[in-house]
Amino acid sequence: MSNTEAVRGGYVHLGAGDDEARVYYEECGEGPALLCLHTAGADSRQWRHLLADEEITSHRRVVAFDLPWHGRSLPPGRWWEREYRLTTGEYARRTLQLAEALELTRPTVVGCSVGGATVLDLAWHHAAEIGGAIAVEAAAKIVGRFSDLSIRPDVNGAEFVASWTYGLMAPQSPEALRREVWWIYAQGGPGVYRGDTWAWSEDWDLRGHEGEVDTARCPLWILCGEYDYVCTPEAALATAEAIPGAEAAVMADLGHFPMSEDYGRFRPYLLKALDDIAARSGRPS
Amino acid sequence: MDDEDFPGAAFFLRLGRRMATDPELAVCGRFLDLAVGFESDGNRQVITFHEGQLVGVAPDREDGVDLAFSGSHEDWERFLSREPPPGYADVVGMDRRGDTFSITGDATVLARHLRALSCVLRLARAEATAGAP
Repeated sequence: MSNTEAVRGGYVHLGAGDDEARVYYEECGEGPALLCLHTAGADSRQWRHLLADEEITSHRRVVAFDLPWHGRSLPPGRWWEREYRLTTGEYARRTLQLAEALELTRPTVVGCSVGGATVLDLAWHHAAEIGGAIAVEAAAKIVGRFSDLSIRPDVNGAEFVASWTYGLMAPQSPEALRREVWWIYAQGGPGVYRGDTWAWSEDWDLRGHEGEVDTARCPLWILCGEYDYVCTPEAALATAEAIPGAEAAVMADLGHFPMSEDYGRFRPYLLKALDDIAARSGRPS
Repeated sequence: MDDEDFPGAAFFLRLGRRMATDPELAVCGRFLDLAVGFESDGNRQVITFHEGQLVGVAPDREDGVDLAFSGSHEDWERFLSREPPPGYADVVGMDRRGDTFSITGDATVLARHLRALSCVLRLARAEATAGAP
């Protein structure tokens, strides 16, 4: 009997010249697109449980990709000559490039952490190009996560970053899945987590602009695990409250990596958000 | 304070026995050579680790400590419970709150040893909840 997953992987080239990046993506299913953005220093493996959720992929095309510098996506040209620092605008740009390359028409985007901040950025600046937004572990402003510790020669950056992020998860989440999150983090390239947290906790700032997010054109949900001590439930709820029309939920017994640390607990919140976005945008759920 | 409970000396001696047989610490603790203070409402023990094993328990240490974890009795009781509530599951997160719990010392030392120290703290939680319903 076959034990093969239905998920398929592929590569697509985004950009041109020194901006060109060979980007890896995985997908499963047919129907309206759901495009998944990973967290800082990680890759599309974080979405493997959603990609294997047949109830969702039976009527949705779920796509997850590795941002350049992450997972199986190589950095763009002459990467060794510059310090890696991401911005949410850059993550959004690559997301839209990928959507165009894969012919995803107004995809619903779901992203976590810096991916969640990027989802907010997309809803703010590109509402016409996406069909709905689910920002997980996201708020208008995050502070205190950018640090040079992981690039010091006297620190094992891989182990440090993995252990630092491990504590963001809920103790109720299955240990094997929390350890998987640790493992994925330990495989990040040198300086990549640090560079991503530049986007997350230095560059990204929605404060004062919440009213500019058009949830009539792009329905928005913000989801936050109650154990996340960096993007706290209080911060996530305050952001949702400041965005007219945004919906929000605090997820019990979950931390900063809900789709990876315990997909079964995350799933009802995700389905509720997807159904609501579909109903508000007049598209099939 | 009951010597059998955290941060009593007897508690740490039991923790040392648990550490000696832990398979994960055998993998990740080889370079754990530190003196670490643990303080709860003014009750303090300095624990000396060598090559990932607990080799000393004393109320203080002439050479000082590399790192210190200090908090209220309530902080530690919640952290060491079988299912810590939100805000009390991780010492780095507790330190981030900036109220009754703090981690002091060189942040680089903490970063260098975070994996092994996290393992020790996981074992401390296991020891604190051993036999509890």
